[in-house]
Amino acid sequence: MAPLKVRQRSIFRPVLNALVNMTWAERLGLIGLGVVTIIALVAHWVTPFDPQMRVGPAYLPPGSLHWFGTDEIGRDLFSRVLLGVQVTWLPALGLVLICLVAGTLIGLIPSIVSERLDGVVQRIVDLFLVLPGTLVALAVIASLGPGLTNTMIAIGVAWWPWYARISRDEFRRIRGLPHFEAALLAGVGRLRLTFHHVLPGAFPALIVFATVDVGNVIMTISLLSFLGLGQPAPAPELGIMTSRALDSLSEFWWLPVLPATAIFVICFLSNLAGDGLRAALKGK
Amino acid sequence: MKEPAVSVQNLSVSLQRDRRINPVLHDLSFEVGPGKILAVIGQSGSGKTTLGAALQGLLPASSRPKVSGSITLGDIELVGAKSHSLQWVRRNVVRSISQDPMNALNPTMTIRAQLREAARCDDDLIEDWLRRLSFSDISRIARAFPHTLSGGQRQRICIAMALMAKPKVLVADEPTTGLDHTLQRLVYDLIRDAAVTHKTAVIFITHNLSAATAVADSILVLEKGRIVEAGGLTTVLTRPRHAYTQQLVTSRIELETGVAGGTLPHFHNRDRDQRESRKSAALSFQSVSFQYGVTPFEVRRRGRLPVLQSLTLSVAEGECVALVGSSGEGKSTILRIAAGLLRPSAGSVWRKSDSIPQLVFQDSVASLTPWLTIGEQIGERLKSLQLSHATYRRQLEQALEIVGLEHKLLDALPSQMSVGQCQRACLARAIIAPPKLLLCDEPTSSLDSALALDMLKLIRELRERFGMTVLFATHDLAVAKFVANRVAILRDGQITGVGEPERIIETLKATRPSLIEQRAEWLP
Repeated sequence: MAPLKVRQRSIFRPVLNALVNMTWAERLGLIGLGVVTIIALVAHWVTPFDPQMRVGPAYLPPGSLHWFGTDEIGRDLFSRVLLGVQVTWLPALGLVLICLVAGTLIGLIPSIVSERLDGVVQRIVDLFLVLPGTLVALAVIASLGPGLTNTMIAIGVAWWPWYARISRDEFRRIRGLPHFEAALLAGVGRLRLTFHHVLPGAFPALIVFATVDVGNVIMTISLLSFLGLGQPAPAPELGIMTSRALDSLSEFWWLPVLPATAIFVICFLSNLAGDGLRAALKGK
Repeated sequence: MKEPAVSVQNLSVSLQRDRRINPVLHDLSFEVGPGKILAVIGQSGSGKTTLGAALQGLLPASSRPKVSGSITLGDIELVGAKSHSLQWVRRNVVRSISQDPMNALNPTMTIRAQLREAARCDDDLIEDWLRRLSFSDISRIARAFPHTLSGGQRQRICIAMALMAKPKVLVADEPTTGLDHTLQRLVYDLIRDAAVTHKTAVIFITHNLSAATAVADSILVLEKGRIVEAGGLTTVLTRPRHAYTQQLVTSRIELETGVAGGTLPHFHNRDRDQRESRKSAALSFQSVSFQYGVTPFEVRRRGRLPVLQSLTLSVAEGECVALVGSSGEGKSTILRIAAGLLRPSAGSVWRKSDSIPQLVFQDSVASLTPWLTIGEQIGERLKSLQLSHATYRRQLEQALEIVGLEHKLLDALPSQMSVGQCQRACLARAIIAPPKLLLCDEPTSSLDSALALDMLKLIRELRERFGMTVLFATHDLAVAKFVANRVAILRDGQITGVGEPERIIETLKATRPSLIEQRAEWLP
């Protein structure tokens, strides 16, 4: 006798439904984010010039050869911004995804293991929540030394508790709904109850929080770079490119404005996508 | 002749489900004059609620509605109107009483604030309306948040919200399903009153023929989205032409005569029931008390609000006991305690079998997980049996057949089904693997009389076949008498009388006529 097959796709059904039912503006946000991610992934191969090398005269305004102009030592700004998207967006995205998964799983612990653990887990989460995030990040970097990986670890330590708190609150809300009680009475096992009857209901809130949060992470990464605790100096990080060129805003406007625009576009797209997801998932 | 308040011409509506277009309404045409009440009757899934939504310009955008024809309220055309003019219409012309009172109120606002918003009026008028809807503790209700009220109480608030605004058009979608007969009659009176004094045109959507009889001037019968019969109330009732209407009329009579004559169609043997009741108990409550999450702080502020007070009840194996009480008397609480979802504050509950009892919830839509298909949810009860795929599928289809649903609904999500279909899906989930103890919370409240009768017969039949013990909560004595061996009357959190239905009804005639007010309709 063949074992019973139960379709597994149900976990992702709310997300799929949301994508199908979206308006063009909401899709624009998601598609835009997809394009940004692809650009970031292939940035090394598509940059027209070597971003680290002097390729022309300094302070060349935007033109047909150098689309975004050149910087103070004659490096191609467009190539540097493309690479900047890579070193800013990918860590931010990775960090948010890791925090999303880790926080959700920690929030699920009481559901899966035992209700009694809820208090213990939540006090640990509280402990991390009361620590000032940026200071913790500074302390972590001070002990590990600067660098991309260490920056991510430092921010991650301060970031995951928010996801744990949100997922746990969503789970508690859903566990009070009649459909959860009905499933409980139907004899559904603990794991299936958690992953099929509770988790999908928490997706909307978690995904929306994550998409809006990406902007915050980008800002924090830029802040740490600005303080000299991010990646070492020649790395084309968007935040540090903006802050360093701010003095020359009146003479060479493209130097701070164009990298800042890239940050703005990324944050805008992620907010748009978040709003879209919220609107689409709310109706479910 | 005066201009009609509502005029619908050649209205057709299709909604999208799973990216397939399903026609829901076909070529409807009807008119309602000011001050007239039109009852729309139809089986669950016949498109009644869609019609109600269309009349308010509220078809769900997510199902990409395609509307043709015309809907005119007064002189405003709704089909193709801009969203801001639809909003103006909803604010100033049409009001509705929703089918789902659990979710129609804003959980973050007090009742007073919501009523004030709905009608833009002062507190005196609000209290006056609460009194008219026979709330006893008016100041507490006005201060309360929706979640602290029972289903019936919330439904009455929704009714007040709609009627206070004195709309020109009122769409009432099953407004009385959760209410007992006294309150139902009160609501009918209020609706008729609004029709007479404010010249409100009322579209009264219902599955219940006797509700329609009680309020309407004319009747429209829908089947599968088409008008199969329309006309004056008496014409349709006395000379039903279409087969479905005839079925509706006769099944109502069948329920009446069945109850009246005491000889029910293939009814169980009373002697055997007596023997059964001497058998050991399957479920017993020993002086059970319950109160909802009252903290010491709340006790000081509002006093204790016990739902149940040392309640004692025992249900014998294979027996069906009906809990009868008005709205807010704690029927649902008893069932939830019996199911083990709530722990009593004091006293003890004892269940004989260790298998999980099944509860058919009152709010059937909310008791289905919104993102899982009906098939997946019903199938969950079979998972422990390790069936082959074919057997599993067959079992699911059989369960749907038993409750009268189509096979294709196995792949539907709850949001794509009507309330009546959800209710039957819930019953299917409960009985697919017959439980030892079945708890039913008003399982027939949103079904039409033909389906309700089927459902009651089904519960009785399953009970006989599998020897299930049934605890059945209802506000309807006729239903209780039809389905149960014994009736327990619930009042103020206590059981005030237990016994055979006939005897209880005799006693109640003297002590609590309100519960059997509608005996002309239902009872001998």
